[in-house]
Amino acid sequence: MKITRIAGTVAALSMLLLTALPALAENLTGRQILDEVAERHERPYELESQRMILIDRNDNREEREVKRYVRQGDDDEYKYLVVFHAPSGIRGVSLLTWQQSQGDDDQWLYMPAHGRQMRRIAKGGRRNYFMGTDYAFEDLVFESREKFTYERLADETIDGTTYYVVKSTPQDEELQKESGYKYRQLWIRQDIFFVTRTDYYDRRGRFLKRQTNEDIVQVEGKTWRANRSIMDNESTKHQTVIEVRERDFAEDAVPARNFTRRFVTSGRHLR
Amino acid sequence: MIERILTFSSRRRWLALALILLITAVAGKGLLSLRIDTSYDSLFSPKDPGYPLYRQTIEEFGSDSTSVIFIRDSELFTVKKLRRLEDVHYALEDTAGVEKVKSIFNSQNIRDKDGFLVTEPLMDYVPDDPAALGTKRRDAIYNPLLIHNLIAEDGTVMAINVTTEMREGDPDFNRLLFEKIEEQISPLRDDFDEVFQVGPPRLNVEIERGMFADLSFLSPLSTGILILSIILFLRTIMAAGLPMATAGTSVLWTFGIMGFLGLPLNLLTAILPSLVIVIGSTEDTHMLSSYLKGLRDGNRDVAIRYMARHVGLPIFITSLTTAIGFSTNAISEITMIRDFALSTSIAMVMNLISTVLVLPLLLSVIGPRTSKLPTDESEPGGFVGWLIGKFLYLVENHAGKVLAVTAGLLLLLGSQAFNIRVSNDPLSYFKDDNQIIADANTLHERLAGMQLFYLTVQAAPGRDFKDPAELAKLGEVVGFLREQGVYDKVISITDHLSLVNREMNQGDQDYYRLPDSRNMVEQYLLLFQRGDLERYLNPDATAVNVLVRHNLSDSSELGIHLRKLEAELEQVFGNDNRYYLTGKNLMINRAAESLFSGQIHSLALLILIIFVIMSLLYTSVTAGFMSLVPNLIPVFVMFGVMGIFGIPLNPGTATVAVIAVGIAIDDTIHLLSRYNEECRTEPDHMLAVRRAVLAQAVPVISTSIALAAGFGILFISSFNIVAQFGTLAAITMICAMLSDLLVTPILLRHLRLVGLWDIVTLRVGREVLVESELFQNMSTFQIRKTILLSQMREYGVGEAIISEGSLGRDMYLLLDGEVKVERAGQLRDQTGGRRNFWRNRICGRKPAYRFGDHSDTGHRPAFQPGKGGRLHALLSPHSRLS
Repeated sequence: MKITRIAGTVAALSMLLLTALPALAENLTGRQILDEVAERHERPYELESQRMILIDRNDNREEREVKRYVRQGDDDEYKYLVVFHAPSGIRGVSLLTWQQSQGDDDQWLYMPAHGRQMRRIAKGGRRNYFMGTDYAFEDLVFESREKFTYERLADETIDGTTYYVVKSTPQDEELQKESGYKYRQLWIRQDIFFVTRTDYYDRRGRFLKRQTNEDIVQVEGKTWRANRSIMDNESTKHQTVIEVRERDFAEDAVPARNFTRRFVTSGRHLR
Repeated sequence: MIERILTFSSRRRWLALALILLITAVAGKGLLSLRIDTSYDSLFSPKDPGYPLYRQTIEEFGSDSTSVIFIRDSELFTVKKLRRLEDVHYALEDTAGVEKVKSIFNSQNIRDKDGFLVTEPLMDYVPDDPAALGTKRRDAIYNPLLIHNLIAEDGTVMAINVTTEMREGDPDFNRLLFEKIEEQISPLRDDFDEVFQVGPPRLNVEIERGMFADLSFLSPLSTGILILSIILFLRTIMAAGLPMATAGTSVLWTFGIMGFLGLPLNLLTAILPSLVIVIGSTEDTHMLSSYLKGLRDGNRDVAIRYMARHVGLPIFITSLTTAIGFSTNAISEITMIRDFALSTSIAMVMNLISTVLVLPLLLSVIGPRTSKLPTDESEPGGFVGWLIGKFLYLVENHAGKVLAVTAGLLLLLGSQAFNIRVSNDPLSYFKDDNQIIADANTLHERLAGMQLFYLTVQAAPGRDFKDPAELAKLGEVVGFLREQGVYDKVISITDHLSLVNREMNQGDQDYYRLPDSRNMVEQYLLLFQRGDLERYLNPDATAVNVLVRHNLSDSSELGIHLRKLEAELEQVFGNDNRYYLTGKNLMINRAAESLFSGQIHSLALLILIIFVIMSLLYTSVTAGFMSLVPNLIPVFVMFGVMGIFGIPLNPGTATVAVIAVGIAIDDTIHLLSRYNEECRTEPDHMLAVRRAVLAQAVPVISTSIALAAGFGILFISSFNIVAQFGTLAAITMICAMLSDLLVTPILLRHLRLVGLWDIVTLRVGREVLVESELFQNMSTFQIRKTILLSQMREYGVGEAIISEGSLGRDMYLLLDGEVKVERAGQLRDQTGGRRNFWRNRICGRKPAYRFGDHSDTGHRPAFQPGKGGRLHALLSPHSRLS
């Protein structure tokens, strides 16, 4: 009898959930969806070992080995360090970025062949392409959602999977000037709130490029990651494929000292 | 047979009309397929050995077909104006057929600013702030990749470079692209000081426009000249319309066949109607002249038969030689010339068919019934008569001097031929006052010339261009190119690397040099996107490409500079690196080099063909050789004029020599033909020459002047090459006329002609051939030739043929009638014996009887026709038979 009652309660709750979830999904705003995305997938510490493949219109390929360090600071802003490990000619080349909540980010470039000093990158370089790839700097950082408006568009079902479709437009005046995009359109899997596709539209609203995330794996709890990302630039007919070989979310994988200029210029970043 | 062919349409009018309509209907169908080709591709040879390499380079480094949009404004860097240009830039990016658009709106800015490294798009949006705009302007001018390429030093001029796809075989591509670009830039013209586009699409469109202007302007003018010349020389207004009908049908039929064969209407074939009208009119003039002379009591049929008999053969032969003249250009390596050669030779054949079908048909229906032309016997009067008199005076009294002066003139002019230069650049086709020339010069002065070629270098085996040593060699060559002072803009990967090196060293100009380590090269390259480098460095860095922009439209001059460059490349790279100079610009210029050899080959081929034809026609190698002499003289003159006046050998002028020979030989044929006729009845060569000149001088002068005028009007063509073609052809026609009236008669005096056609068609009585002991063991051909070498003589009853006691070494052959021998007394033979057998042996002899040969030397009795009426005998002068 007890069992029957418990079973009945579970069934009732299940029914309630089943009927309430779609309603919940329907009521979510664009911003809420993106908040949920951030909530689930933004991690304070992250290290990725990547293989980066640049493919031109004639299918010529150029491969690089890259390590990407991400760490959230005490002010909730993130710091990023990207280090090239291969090929040998560019080994040690690094880009250090300190995200700022207000104003432009700070960036330093390190080219070991040029000397043991990091060159400060001029401000306002969000839309600069990153080291010959199809990714702009602004594509590689977590975004401050306050600076954008998120308009939810009609959901789409592709190959049996339903997606939220959200249009993200910079609303911050400074950002509008700095961003290379008029808006982006994101496809977010409804079941895991994971962005699987992003279409980028240039400042004139013309389709520019598309990022597609593939081989999506659940890495921890609700957190998912794509093992393979493809940025396909329509205007240049060029592609950048990033394949993640290793991933670490431990804090000690990305210690705070890694995000200093001294760490880089001393050559420790290559160890 | 020829007489039957030429009179066919006048005898079978309805059948001829049906045939004409049928051909016209079929041609009309072909006309629908006629295409226009004004593309670059027809200006070079697809068989160019560098073509596969060119394709490969294009695949690897992108198309070399670039249109430059030039924008000049004293207030260029204002928000409003730049935003408008930005709109144009992006609209062009979205244009079908555009491969790449490059301007300051999508250029990379790499610059040190107060210790900060700027690596950002130069102006991917137009800032509102005038101060920011000023910074952008300074950054653009500071950038060595952009200065003189996309922006002028003073910032008042900028360019949007539009690289277009390679669409070979699509004749509309360039026109459509030009229109699309024009659609974008036209509205700018109201608000900017100067806006224009230059590049292959505009060139193609300008050529097309000029071509149609020529078609619509020159064709009516040619028609006018045709009508005028016919009225002037044939003194009949009514007949003037007839050649227009033949010319019209010829052009229609030719265009129809061109449509079927896929031969396009191009810069040169566009003058085809004018050529057909002018050249075709010469045949018509000869035919009409003959028709008018043959008019007896207003009887058209008689006149047509007369015309067919007298000019039939020359018309066929001259049409053939003219067609051959045009067709020999078909061995050219340049597609445009080849198409022109095929089209015009087809046109000449069509003109012959049309003339044979249409003219007699029309003459039989609406031909004039009266003529104001003098008869053959009367000498021409007026200025022409005076002129001809002068020519004859020189021929008869100063032959040696005429030949000496001619030879001296030829030597002088021939030596000038060494100064001829070649040119095949499309820009040089336009006249200097054409707006495209002005625009191209403006572009050259303010930014960089529109001409472009690539220098592609492959790294030494096992090396690449990340290696500083390889880059240093490249840098040396790039430095050499800049030192020459003739190349407006040279861009290579060395500029990209030098730029980064400078900016990584706080903008210190001393560091504007190549990095000195491989790692530095690799790391500096990270600052560029692949798209920024793809035109200069291949993905694995084993090959580099140097873009060279210039404004050299003279193939000879460019050739000199390229040879210098090749020597430098040889010195710098030796055998370590392979290097290529590629680009349509170069292939077009290289094709110019083939113009010389093509000209020589075509001319040699034509000379050989004419020599063979004329030798066969007149059964004499001497005649073949002789017919060439007066027609090569104008060619020498033409080359001399080109050398003296700096007229280059280009696809237009390169066709003149063979066309001129092909046309000029016509007058020689007419002269030879007439001389041949005269010789049959006139034993005195000089007199025969005189008669031939008197009979042919008027048509020769009239056709030559008409041709010269017809070609001369091409001088007002929209294109230099057509104008130069026309001028040279006109000069050549006049020279050919002078040569035919002065040199040909002098040469003819020493020549006895026997026409093959005459031999074949000679009707000789069987008994003459069989019974004459003279012809025993001779072939029919030999018999006929012997007969034709003789002169036909007609004697009346009782007329003395040979007088007793006269001396002579000639022989007579009795063709018909009877002769009898009468003598006053007895003759003694050479031995002194008495001989009286002549009377018995000869009297009452019938045809085939031979008499008066050299066995009778010095002791001839008198011969005279017997009582049977008139007698025909062939006089075979000893001089001709020996």
